[in-house]
Formats: sequence, C-alpha cells, structure tokens
Amino acid sequence: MLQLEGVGKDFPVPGAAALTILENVSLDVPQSTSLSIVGRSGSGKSTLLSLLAGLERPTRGRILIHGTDITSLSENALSDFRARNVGIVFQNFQLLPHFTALGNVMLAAELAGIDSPREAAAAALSEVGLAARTDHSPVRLSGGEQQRVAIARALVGTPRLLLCDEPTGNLDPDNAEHVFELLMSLRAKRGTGLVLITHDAQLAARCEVRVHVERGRVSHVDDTSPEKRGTPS
Amino acid sequence: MTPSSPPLSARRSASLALRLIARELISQRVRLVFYAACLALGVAAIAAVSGFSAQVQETVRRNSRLLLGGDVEIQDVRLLPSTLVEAARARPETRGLALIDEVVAMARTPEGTPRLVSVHAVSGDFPSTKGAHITTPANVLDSPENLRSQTAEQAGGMGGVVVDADLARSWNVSVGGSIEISGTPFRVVGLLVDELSRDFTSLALGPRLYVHRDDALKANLVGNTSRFRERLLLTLAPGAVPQDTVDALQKAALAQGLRSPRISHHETNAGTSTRPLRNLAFFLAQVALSTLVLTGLGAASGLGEYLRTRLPDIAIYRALGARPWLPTAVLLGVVAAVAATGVVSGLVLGEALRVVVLVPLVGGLLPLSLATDVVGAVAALDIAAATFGTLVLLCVPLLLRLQKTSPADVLRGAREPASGGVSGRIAAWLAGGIALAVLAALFVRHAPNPKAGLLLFAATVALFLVFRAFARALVSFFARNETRLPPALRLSLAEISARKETAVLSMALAGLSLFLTCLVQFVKDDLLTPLGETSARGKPNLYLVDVQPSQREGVVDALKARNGGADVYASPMVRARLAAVNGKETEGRVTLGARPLGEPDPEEETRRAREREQNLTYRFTLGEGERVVERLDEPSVPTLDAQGRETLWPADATPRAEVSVEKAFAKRAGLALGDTLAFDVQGVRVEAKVTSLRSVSWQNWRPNFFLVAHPSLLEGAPQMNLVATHISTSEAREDVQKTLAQSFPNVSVLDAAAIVRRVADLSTGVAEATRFLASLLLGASLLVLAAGVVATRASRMRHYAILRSLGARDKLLSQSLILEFLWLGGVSGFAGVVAAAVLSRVFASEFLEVDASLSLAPGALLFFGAVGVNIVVGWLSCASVLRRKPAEVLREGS
Repeated sequence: MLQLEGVGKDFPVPGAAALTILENVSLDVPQSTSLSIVGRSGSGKSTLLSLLAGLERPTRGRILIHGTDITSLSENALSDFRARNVGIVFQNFQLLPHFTALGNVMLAAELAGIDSPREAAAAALSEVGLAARTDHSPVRLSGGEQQRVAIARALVGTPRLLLCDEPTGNLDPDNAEHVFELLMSLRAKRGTGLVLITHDAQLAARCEVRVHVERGRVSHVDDTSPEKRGTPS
Repeated sequence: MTPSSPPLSARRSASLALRLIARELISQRVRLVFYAACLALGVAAIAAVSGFSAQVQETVRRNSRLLLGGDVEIQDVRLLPSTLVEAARARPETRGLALIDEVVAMARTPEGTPRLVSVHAVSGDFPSTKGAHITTPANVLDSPENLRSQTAEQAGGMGGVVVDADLARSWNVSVGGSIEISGTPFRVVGLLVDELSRDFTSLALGPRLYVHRDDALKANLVGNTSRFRERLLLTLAPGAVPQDTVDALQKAALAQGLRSPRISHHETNAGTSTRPLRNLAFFLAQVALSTLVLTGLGAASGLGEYLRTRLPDIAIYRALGARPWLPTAVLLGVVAAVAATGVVSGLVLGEALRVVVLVPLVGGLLPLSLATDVVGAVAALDIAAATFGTLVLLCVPLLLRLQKTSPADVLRGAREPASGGVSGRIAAWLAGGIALAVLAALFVRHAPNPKAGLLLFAATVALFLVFRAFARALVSFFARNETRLPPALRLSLAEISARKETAVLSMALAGLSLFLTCLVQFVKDDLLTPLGETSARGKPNLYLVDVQPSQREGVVDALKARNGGADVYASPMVRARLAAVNGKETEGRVTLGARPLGEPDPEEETRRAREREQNLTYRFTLGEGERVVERLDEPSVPTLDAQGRETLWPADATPRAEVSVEKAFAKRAGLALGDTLAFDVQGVRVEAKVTSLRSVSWQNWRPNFFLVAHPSLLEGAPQMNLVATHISTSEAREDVQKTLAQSFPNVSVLDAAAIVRRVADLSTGVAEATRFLASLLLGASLLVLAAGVVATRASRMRHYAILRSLGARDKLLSQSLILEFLWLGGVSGFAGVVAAAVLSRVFASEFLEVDASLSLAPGALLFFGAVGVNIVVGWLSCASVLRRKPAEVLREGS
C-alpha cells in the first residue's frame, strides 16, 4: 500500500539554515492496513501526512502509493492521483462553508470523475447517517456531523488510501468515538488503507500498525497485526 | 499500479469549472453584486456622457449644411470685396450665392419697448436650403424678392421685414403692421416661427429680423455698426468636395492680398460653432472618467479582498485532487462574470441616465432637437471593453499568487497568499502598468488635446493618492494612540483597522466625491456672484454701443437725466485689425479656417487672440480698478493726474506711437513690452510700441479695453463710442431705451441683467451635470462601504459576541458602529470640502480674477448630507449583526 524510502523534508528559514522536519523516514506498509502515526506536537506528523497526500514534496527520498511513485509525478498528475486514490479527513473538517453537505461531497465525486456525482454523494451521506441533512450548510451542522460529512467526502471516490489528521481532535469523547467507529467500519468495508495521525494513544492502539515519530524520525514501530506485516526502517 | 480511472477530459474539466463558477457566483452573490454595482456606476457615468457627446456630434453632423445654410461660407466683419465675391461666383462648382449681412440694431414700435435685435439683410440665392425657416406666411423667406415685392405693392416705399414671432407678440404687432429699425420704418411682411440655421450660442444678443439687403443699405444699417458680419454662402453642385472649394477660395483671397475673411465649409463651421458644447462634453467626460477610475478601483479592491478570502477553499479543492489551474480558473471566471455584469449594467444604466438626466440638463445648449435614433451606449463600447479587460487583468497577479500558495500551508492555518516571488512582483507591476496605460489612453482619447488629457489623468490619480495617504495616516495615527481613546472610539477604529485597505479606499472615494461636487459649486458661485451683483450703483448695467462722436454728449446727458446720479462712463472705440507684430504679418483669418477640424493647434489661442477684430480706445488716464504692472521705461518723474493718481502717459501734447496692453490678453496673444504692433484701421496702417502692461479688474463691470493707445495715435481715426451707466430698475432701463430709440435710433442698448440671467442658466446646467456625475461617485463610495461591511459580517459578529460576553452593552456597540461610519465618510469628506474651498479660491483669484467671498453653506450641506447617508448605509448593513445572540455566534465558531 505504502512505501517510504529515505524520506526527508526541510523547510527554508530566511536568514538561517533550513529546518529539518523529517529525516530518513522509511516505511513499507501492505495493502489495506490501518496505520497510526503518533508523536508529540511538532514531531513532524502533520508534515508526514502532507507528504503522503502529495500536498507537499519531500526534500529527499521517494514515496510510493500502490506502486506509483508520487514524488516523480507532475503537479497535474499528482492532483489526478489524489482525486482518485486518496481521501483526506482533517482535524477541523475543512468543509466549504458556502456549499451544502451534499455540495461538499459532490465536489469530491466530480473531481474523482464519477459519472453520477450527485447520486454517489447522496449515497455517501446516507452511509454516514446524514441522509436527512444533505441540504444543510456546514454552519448548521454540529461538529460531529461536519466530520461525518468530511468522511463521506473522503470516501465517495472509493480511494485506496485514507489519510486522517486528528479526525476526532475537535470532537467531544462521545462524538469522537462514534466518528472513529464509523471511520473504521467504512474503511474495513471498502478495504481501504488507513493512515491516522493522532496523539490519542487509545485510538492509535486500535490500528494494526503504530509508527512512533520523534523529532522528525521514526523512533519505533509497533505491529500488532497477527501477521506482523509492518516493517520499520 | 495505475489510477483506477483516466483523468477528466478537457471537456469535462471545462464543464466542471463552469459549474463551479456558477455555484460560486450564487453562493457569493450578495457581495459580488455590490462590486458589480460599484463598477456599473462608473461605466454608467462615462456611457451617459459619451452617448450624449455622440448624440450631439451626430445631430450636428446631420444638420451641418442646414445649420450653415450652404456648403461653403466666406465671412468677415467688414464688407467683402466684390473681387472675392466674383471669384466665388466664377467657381465651376458654384450653383448659388447668398449674401447675408448681420448687424445688431435697436428696433421698436411707436408704443413698444425698443429691443436689441439681430438684423439679417439677405440677397442673392438666399436661402440655400428651402424649409430651413418656418414662417407665417409659409413662403415669405423662400426668396429675398418676396421681401421686396411685397413692399412694392403694399408698403408705399417701406422695406419689408420678417419679425421673430415671439418679439412680434410682445410688441402686439402682426403681418401688415410696421416697426422701426434704427429709426427707419419697415413693413412687417411675415413672422419667423422657427429656423435651423442659427448660431450655436445661447448668448445671441437679440431676436432675429430679416430684411432685403438693398433696404438695409438704404437704412444705413450695413457696415456702419460695431457688431457687423457679412457672410457669403455658396451652394455647390452635387458631388463637389467643399474642402476643394475652400482651398481654391483661400488661394484667391491671398492672391488678392486679403487676410481678414474667414473661409470654411459646413462641417468645419459646425465644429467650430459647437466648440463650447464640445468643450463642455470634454469636461464632463473627464469627470466621468475620473468617476470610472475610482469606481473601478473600488470594484478591484473589493474583488481582491474577496479572492483572498477564497484561499482556504482553494486549499481544499487542491486537497480533493483538483488540478492547480481549476480553482484559479473558477475564480477568474467569477471575476470576469462580475466585470461583465458591471460593464453591461453600466452601459444600460448610462443610456437611461443620458436620456433622463443629461439631455434635459444640458441638451438645451444645442438649439437643435437632438437626434433620437443614436444609441449612446455604442459610443462607450471601447471604454466598456477596456474597463472589463483592465479589471480582470488587475486580479490576475493575485490569482497567480493564490495558485502558488501551498495548500498544506493554508490547511495548517496560513491566511495570506504566497508572495509570488520575483515573477509575482513582475506580474503585478506589469498588470498595474498596463492598467495605468489603458486609463491614460482613455483620458487622452476623450480630451480636447493629449496634453489636457494626460494632465487630467495625472490630477485624478494624484488626488486619489493624496486622499488615500491622508486616510492611511489617520488610521495609523489612531492605531498607535488607541489605548488613550474612549472605548467606543477605540472599538470603531479597531474595526476600521481590521479592514484597512477597504476602509481607506472608501474614505478616499468619499473625500474625492465631495471634493468634486463642492469644487464645481464653489467655482460656479464665484463666477456668478459678481455677475449677479448688478444692483450696486458703481457697477454699470446698461451699455450703449454705436454712439457716434456727434451723439456722445447728447447720450451722456440723456443718461445723466435718468440714472439717479450714477456715474456715466464713455469711451471712444476704434475698430482695427492687428496686422503685424514686430514686422511679421499676422496670418489672417483666411488661413485660420483652413485647419482641419480636430487637428490640434498648439498656437491656436495666440492666433485667435491676434486675429480677432480688436477694439481699441485712447486716453491718458487709468480707470478704477486698473493699474500699470510693468513699464518699458520707468519715467524719471511719475506720471500723475491732478488728483495724484498714476496715468498711462503725461497729459501733454507730445505725440507718442505707444499702446498699453492688458496683461492677460498680452499673454494670450504672445505680446511683450517693447513689441511693435501694426494696426489696420479701416485700411490705414498705424504702428505703436507696447510701452506698458496693465492689470484690469473686470468685475467692476466698467468698460475697459485690452488695448489702450496714446490719444495722439487714434484721435482722428473713424470711431464710435461705448457708454455705460447704472440704472436701478428694469422699468427705468426700459424707459431709457425708449427715449434713446427716439432720439438716437442707431444706438444699440445692451441690458446686462438679461445676459447675466442667461449665463446663470447655462452655468447652472453645467454645474448640475457635474454634480450628477459626482453623485455617482458618492454612490460608488457607499457601495464600497457596504460591500466591505458585508465581507466582514462574520468577523464583526464574532467581535461583538465576544464583547458582549465580556459585558459590553448594546449602547457601546451602537456608538462604536456610528463612530466607525462617521470616520469612514466624515473625515475625508471634510478634507474634500476644505480642499475644494482652497482650490476654488486659487482658481477664482488666478484664473477668473474675481474676489468673491466663499459661501460655505452649500459645502456644509453636502458634507453633512454625505456623512448622514454614510452612517445610514453602514447602520442598515450592520443592523442584523447587532441583533444576533452572542451564544449562537460563539457556538457556531467553536
């Protein structure tokens, strides 16, 4: 599913040496695995997720997703790849405020090239339990509901990889549990690989593989899958 | 492995982009409508003015031949030589020749009040165009012989006259009755109801009368009065090119040594005659363009702010897999849609404003009915296209920066677009440079000449920058001192600082609109106030021209007997032409009319000042309000009169070939101290050296002259007298005119009050038109204000909710809101009124040379009105924000 080979990311600092956020990260994650990335704030987790989403390019190394080296793709090709293969769920939902719930999900379906985007979007919303709220704008939805719309949007294009950046970080514990359950069940239903950024140890423990990131490096990997499929750098 | 499905085809991508554009337009319609409306106002202003200009030009073009009364005209202020008339008759393309002499004279009935009239003495093939005169009986002016034949049968020797119908009605005279013109009786053979071939001036001195030229000669009307013009109108064969005839006749005139006749064809003539109206249109166009520039800036600024708020959306689009160009294309489409909506709406609105506002306000300056089949908006299409293109172009650099911004940064919380680097800065400079160049080109295209256009463009930009700098300085100053301010004031300024750019723009627009409106009002008042003060005894309001030397004493005595002791001013007047300056012959009006219309003549003012018929006087003394500012040789002993006042020359018998020139006229005509001027006084050449320059206070209304000669130079020359005095009431002035008409029928009387009324009407129309345009600017500033408020509703709601949670009362929030809009409209509006007052003072003293005191009442009214409207608009835009419950707002934001 996911291969990282010596990935590093530096950020330029005006008037000073570049800041290294990630250094020599290597991972090999098989198909349909659920993987969590844990670490303290500032350890480089979100940066790693951005690299996996193709929203940023690594300074060093390669990233292969389902065999495609995304680091060698052009910007257009990378966008196309992301539209069809990657779904992202953000901590603060990142819904378009002037679109309805249906509009938000439909946009992702359109970008993914789905032939009947409206129907697909309606179905996705129904799957997350929001069939009755399709015409509501995000401002009229609760936090949990907004995150469920975000999940529907991430999954409507049937991606093979789902990236979640602290998906329950802005939710109360009950909502967080519901949303996480939903996430895991939908992902399992589709066989979608999952990469989850979280600082919540309990949520992290529910993934098959846990990657610990410390000061930009992978400190250790816990593989609790029966087959111990994950391998550290 | 490869992606599960192929990328979107170009067609599907385009279709998606269009759908997203539509969705964005619908979801953001409220704020986008404001920007489109702002732009529409500016486009409407220029569309209305351009359309009006085009309408006037088309009307004149269609009627130019009719207006002139022929194809080619030769005119002079003296009798045309027969050799030139024969040369015109001999031209192979000439099909008809009509001779018309125009004089100003006094006409009366035995019972009626004498009136100053414009007498047209006609002969030959007059009129060139049948149907140009509407008369009763219908055919009386179809041939000059109609005037004679009727007299031969009916009048017992009296010449026939066709009288202006309104004048006849006021005199209670009808066909068959009789009137006197300069003491000579004429039989009324017809009434003039309307005509098309009129001068393009609303300041014609009196109604028209038509007589046969032979009868006018018999009555000694022709060639002997101060206001005389002879016109020879040629009708050419179909297909003949009028310009060729003009060129040939000019050569013939020069070959005959003639320099004074002016030769032109109907198109040139129409252009020259409509110069005042065209200059008015140019002026209005410049004001309208300034309005367009500023409203365009308002729209561009608003759109820029809108695009910045789309940054998070762009990041989300990219995170979902949209190609980099897609969000940019969507936003570009939105910008283009807003620009197109604004431009099209503006064209439609402009057409309506032209018909409903401009034509009624200033259309009356043209004595023709304006052509109604002209679609004015077509004249503004170039401006509309330029506006659309410029607005879109101005947004491109920001769009490129938005596209370059890393979506990851935005998703992490960045709220500002990437700087764009060197290429971004180059793109911004290029876009700005092109926009400025396009705007400058528009100003030049709609100006009388390129220099004026560039000057006005620079002035508009400079004014805007000044107001903008002032507004920014104010905002910065209060931001630095905010902790010292009371809470309501502090809150109001915090809101302004939160959206500094929009606030500064709104303030600049408000200031500039008030500046323009007040400037026009103050200048108009400066011009009219001294004109209106005709009641002062020291200011003459009755002027008598064509007073012969032998009549002078009698006329003065007649006035003194009736003017209640006011002063009577009498000056000899000698008509002459300035034949040469320092030995170089002036070109003469023969070539003056040769320049093609529209071709700029950098020396036109000088040539016109030199070529006009000059009125000279002669005396030793200086008049009231007149003083010598410079002398060629300072006399060893000051020249003083018996009362100790400075004089031009010592009152002795020494002959001096010297002349004193008024300084402003000297500047216009390019004359200087020491220049030797040669005058042609009725065929006799007289030379004089310029030995002094004078300044004259024209606002005292006393007769004065640009050129004052030493008495020894002109005492024996053919001359008339100009006499002026003050007579308090209109009834007394009428009585004087009746008396003078009986005793001195050749003397023409001008009542200044009537002229002042007409000038006032003209200037009122112009001022109203300019105020109308400035009001569009004010409207645009209110739109920018409202758009800014709408854009910041969410943040304002949050701020108020937080303040309420901290214990702030409604009263404090309301006060801060009112103060905020008071700042936005009031401060720069006040600066605008003050700037207008200062500039109008400078203009009045330097250019109008008047000392009228400034009445600030109109400015104060405008200021308080504009501020009030500002506050109302702002309040209405924010009213719902104040009503939101803080708990709801805070919950939404969490």
